[in-house]
Amino acid sequence: MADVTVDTLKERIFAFAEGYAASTGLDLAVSVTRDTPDAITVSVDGTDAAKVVGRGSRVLDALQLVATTACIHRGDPRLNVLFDSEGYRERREQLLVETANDLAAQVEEAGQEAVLDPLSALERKIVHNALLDHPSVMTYSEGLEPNRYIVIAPRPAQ
Amino acid sequence: MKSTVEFLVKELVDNPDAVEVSEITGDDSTTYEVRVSPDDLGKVIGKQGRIANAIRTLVKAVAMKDKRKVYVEILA
Repeated sequence: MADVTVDTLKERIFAFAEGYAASTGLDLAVSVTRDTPDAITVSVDGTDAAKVVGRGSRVLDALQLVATTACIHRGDPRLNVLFDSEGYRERREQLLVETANDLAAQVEEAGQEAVLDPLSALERKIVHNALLDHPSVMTYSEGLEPNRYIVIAPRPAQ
Repeated sequence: MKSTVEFLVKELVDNPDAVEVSEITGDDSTTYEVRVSPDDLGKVIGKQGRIANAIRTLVKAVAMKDKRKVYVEILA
């Protein structure tokens, strides 16, 4: 078998998303909203879009997991796959960064740790990155998946 | 919904021809019994059932409009 290219993987992921959308009988339209040499974002939009996001994006995350498992195999080139719907990921990122900054300000003032609700690895990364260069707080994760959560703590004085 | 179960399972396995999905309809629930080749069982279930749970999530998302409970059972 010939080596699989990134473009082949992207085509497979897109075809998977279209196949899933068609199989549901829901009003969904699939499009690629971001395409870079090592990453692709596939957006599932339409009047039934809310159904494929799910509470806390659990449906989008499940779609992402099954799509990557079905389409990308050992030995294939690296490709980051993100499933999105009606701009959900960007709105969610804004909310997470806002929440992280608000809590960081509280932690700074009170000198006490604050805990966030459990988040997926992807969403935890957004929070960690948002506070990476914060002068007076630090972040770390505690607990086991799927209930792993972020703790924002005062940065120890150097 | 049956078409969704079939689509997802066939995408995951090496032997799509061996995939059989039967639909068992109860009063307020529907059960999908998925049969795959024994070699493909691990692919459909995944580590700690992660893939099986993702399939359930994706099928339930579609079932929401009918307000029915949906179960997906995976058998070899």
